Amino acid sequence: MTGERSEPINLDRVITWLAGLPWWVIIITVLGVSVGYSVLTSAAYLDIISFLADDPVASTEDFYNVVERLQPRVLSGLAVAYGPDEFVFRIRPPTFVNLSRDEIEEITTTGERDGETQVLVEMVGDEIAGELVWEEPDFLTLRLDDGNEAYVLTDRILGQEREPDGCTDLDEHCTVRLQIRGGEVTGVLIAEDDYGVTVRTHDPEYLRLSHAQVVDNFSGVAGELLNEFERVDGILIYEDDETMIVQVAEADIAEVPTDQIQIMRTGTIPCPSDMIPGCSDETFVSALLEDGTEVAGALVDESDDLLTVMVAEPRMVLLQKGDLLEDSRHPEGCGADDEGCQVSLQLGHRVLTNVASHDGDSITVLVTEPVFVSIPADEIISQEREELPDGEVRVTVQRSGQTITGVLLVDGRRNLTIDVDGEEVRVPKESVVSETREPEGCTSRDEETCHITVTVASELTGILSGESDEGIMLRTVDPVYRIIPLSQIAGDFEDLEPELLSQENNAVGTLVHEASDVFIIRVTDPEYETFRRERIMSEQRGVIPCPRDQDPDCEDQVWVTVRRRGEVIVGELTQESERALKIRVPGQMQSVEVALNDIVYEDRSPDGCTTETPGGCRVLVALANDTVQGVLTEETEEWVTLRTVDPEYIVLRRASIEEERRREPGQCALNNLGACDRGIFLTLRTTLMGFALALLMGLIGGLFRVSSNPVLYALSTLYVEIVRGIPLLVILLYAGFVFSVWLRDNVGIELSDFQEATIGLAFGYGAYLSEVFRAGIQSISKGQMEAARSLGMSYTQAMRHVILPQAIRVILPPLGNDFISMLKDSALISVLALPDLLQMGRLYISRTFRAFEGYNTVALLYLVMTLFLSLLVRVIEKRTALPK
Amino acid sequence: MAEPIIQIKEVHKRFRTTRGIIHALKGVTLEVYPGEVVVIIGPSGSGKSTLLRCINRLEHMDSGDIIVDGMSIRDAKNINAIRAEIGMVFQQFNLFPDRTALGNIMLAQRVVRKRSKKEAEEKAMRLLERVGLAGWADHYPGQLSGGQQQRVAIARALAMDPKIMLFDEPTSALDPEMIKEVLDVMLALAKDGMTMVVVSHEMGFARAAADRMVFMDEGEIIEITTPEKLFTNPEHERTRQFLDKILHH
Repeated sequence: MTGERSEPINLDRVITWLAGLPWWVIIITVLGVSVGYSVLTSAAYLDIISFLADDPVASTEDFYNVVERLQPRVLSGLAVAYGPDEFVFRIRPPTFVNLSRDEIEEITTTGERDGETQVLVEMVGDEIAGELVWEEPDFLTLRLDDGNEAYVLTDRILGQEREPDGCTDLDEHCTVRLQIRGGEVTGVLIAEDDYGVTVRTHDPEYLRLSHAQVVDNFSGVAGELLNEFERVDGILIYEDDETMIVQVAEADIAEVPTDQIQIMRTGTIPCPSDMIPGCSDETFVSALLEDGTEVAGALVDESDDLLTVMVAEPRMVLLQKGDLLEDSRHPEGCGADDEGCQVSLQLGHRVLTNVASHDGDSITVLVTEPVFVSIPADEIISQEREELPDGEVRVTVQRSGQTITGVLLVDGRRNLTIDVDGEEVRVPKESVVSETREPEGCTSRDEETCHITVTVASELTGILSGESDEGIMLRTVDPVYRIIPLSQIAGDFEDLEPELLSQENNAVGTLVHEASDVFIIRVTDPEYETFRRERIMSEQRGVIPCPRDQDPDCEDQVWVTVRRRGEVIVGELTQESERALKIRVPGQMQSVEVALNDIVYEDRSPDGCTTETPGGCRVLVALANDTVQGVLTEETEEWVTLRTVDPEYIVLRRASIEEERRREPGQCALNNLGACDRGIFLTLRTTLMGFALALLMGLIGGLFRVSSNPVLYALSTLYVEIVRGIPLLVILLYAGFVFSVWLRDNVGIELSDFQEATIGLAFGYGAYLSEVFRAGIQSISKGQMEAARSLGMSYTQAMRHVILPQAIRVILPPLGNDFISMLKDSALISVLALPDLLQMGRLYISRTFRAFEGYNTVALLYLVMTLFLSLLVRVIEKRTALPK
Repeated sequence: MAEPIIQIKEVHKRFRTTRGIIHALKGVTLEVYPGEVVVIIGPSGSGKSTLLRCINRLEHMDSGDIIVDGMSIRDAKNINAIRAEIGMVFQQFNLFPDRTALGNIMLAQRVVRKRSKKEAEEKAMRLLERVGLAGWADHYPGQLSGGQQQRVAIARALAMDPKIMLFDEPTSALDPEMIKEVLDVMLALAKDGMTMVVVSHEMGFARAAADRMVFMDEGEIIEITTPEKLFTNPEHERTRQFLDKILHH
């Protein structure tokens, strides 16, 4: 009963509530919903809104500069027609199949098109036999007698016999004999006679490219591109300013004497009449000669006793000259008009990698990386030292280390030959430090196998770069550097061996240098590790000599390998997972994350506490010892910093960049709205800044207006009266074209358009706000000032602590109204050529002629802002009201 | 007798209004001694309030001199320092409406006396207790009755540790049932030995607390006497007429 009754009451309540709403709420809601709906569902409006909001991109992608490089593009096929305007390529030649009668089970006509008959030819089945290797529900694999494997789909099998009967692939031997259904061939029937048929199974495919398309990266034909070429050798057959066509494979032409032909069939190869009007079809010839060979292809020439047939089409490639790195011709300087102009073209983009460092003028390429080898003291058998002229010491170390275990094969005079897991290893006897044989004293001539374990000394020569009780460190390979001026790189990487990055599509990284012809991109950021010196258990240092011969002022770097004692971390446990702990260490901004694997000791206080424990959980963890190595970058008495990962740069030429995308910190993006400075953002910023300035001017003006000082009073009255009598537009024009010019010429301060507009708006509105402030101050009863002064406050103190706080409450609503009108009046700044909301709207309309949608959107955005602001003012008013 | 704490010497004050010049004070001379309670009475427009406001220079006198605690307010370099020594209570209370009772009492202590927040708060709480409003510290003036507001105003003035308290008709704007609570506070203050100059028509208070009574009329002091004498045997005819009007109606 109660349930039934409560429903109509609720409905009544909703209706009453709705009816009780003020009329303007209802109108605004209806308008808002309908306009909002149409805006959000209309692509045009969304487009306009985006434009008016400075077209922010979604993300600035970590504010990195990204440069994307694409591969050279090559189109290959047979050039059917080429000229200054367009190319027609046969990117796929037709394929013909000759079928003899005894192969054919049945021919079915499936249709007719362009006067040609389409057929489906079913082939005679086959029988194969072999060893069953593998069997699955939908296929079998057999090993045939000739050793090949055959893969047969189950649904092609008509019948089968197995021997032994019912055997499977798991049995040792299982011979299977299969009857297989014949295949099917579909295509256009081009000839048929007593001996068989010829079917064109694939039609030729043509592609027409306009010249502009070729130049513009083959746009629109991406699917037809072949990218595998890096080097193109062939005969130049066409060349213009931007493109070349090179014949890379010659046509294979066979000459057939007519009297040797046993059977001959002919058909047509259709030409692309839709692309080349008036072209003529070619004739296809298929001939079986008396000696049993078959010749098939396009008929090139025909005489009474000789047929000339193109068995294989020539292959040509179309490429853009911009992709060429190298262009050599033979005879030198030949062109497309010359007969047999041999070209050898190198395609691809050169990229210099392994760039160690760079500055504005040159790059340093690390041609060979240094190699350091640490030898523990107990592995050193003997060493010889030699002082080099430059003060370094060359050490030759006899080192024991490698142990070889295997079967002794030959015990020769000089060498031992040992079979190590099937591989013969020859060990010089003089380098053997120790050996053990099993059975003891066995030789290779014994009947039993003789197992041997030898420890071999190896010789290592290098520059001594570190020495301690634990061992020595040798630099076995010296680094080799080349310093190359950037100007040289710009000129085609002359004399260098750049890498060809044909596999890698793009280079993504931080752009560190950009010259007119060259980019340097840091693709790997360096990583540093800083730790306390007291954590060092042992360290070895080596010098990486710098290329002093090329750069006399360069400084050597120090290579350090450090064995570190594990760190001890004490702090508050903030997070705990299965893999790691997070600990907040006092005095550090971020929590330290510690992997559980690295922890060798852990103590918690209170015992066994967790993050849930009330009062917090203090932990002490000790980490395992580890080893770091890198280039020493900074060293103090307390700290050591190593560069553990070197930065990697690549250098590439601007010409090889196909597409470049950059994300800059200053870009307007949804995750970086602060950088958006046009349209609605400019309107908001000008209004906010202008209003802040106007508030200041209004406050000062208002205080002067209530001041007892006649000069200040007169000054502020003059300001208020003059400004209130001049249209804001005129004030803005003054700010933009009079005041700013005066300031530039006389004071030397250059104002931006934005600053001019802000100052203009603030100056104009300052006068109105002065009056608002004056009225607000005067609305506070005199008694307030008297009370404050009677307590000993100065005029200023009384103003600040007693009068103004009360006055601001009074003037908040008029201030809010003025702010709203300033937002609207900010549309006037478009006269200073500032791209504010209105100006952007007009720009959009002038581009698209969508005046209706354009102004609708502009108006709507202003409306949304002002409605929101008046709501905000009202909320502030409510919240600051004094309790009664 | 000790030195007077306030010496008013031949003070003249004229107001320029649209109806011409009003001579509000015509050569008023009065001395107030430390610990004394002086009650000034007189018909409206007689210049009592003007005289009071001249003492802390809320009104500028045209001629004459007022010496407070040995300093002339006329040539005082820092009138604010003198004002801090003179507490004033207004007819309309003049509490700061945007501050709580506590905030009202703390403000000048913080701004003028530069007391720490803690110190100012402790003092304010003590004073609120003294005027019987310990539980009302967090209330805004708008939430208090007139009597409560006036008591907060007294506490606010006392927070500056003044040597002199001026009361400008402190009860005239109050409903009758609230007058007593304010007068009780003032009486207690008088008993504690505060020097007070009170403009009031509360004869009960005058009788109980006043050391001397001053009768003013038309900008002049007509009579300075003790309460007993004034009520029983006023010297001047005008005093008698005035008392007749306010005591027997």
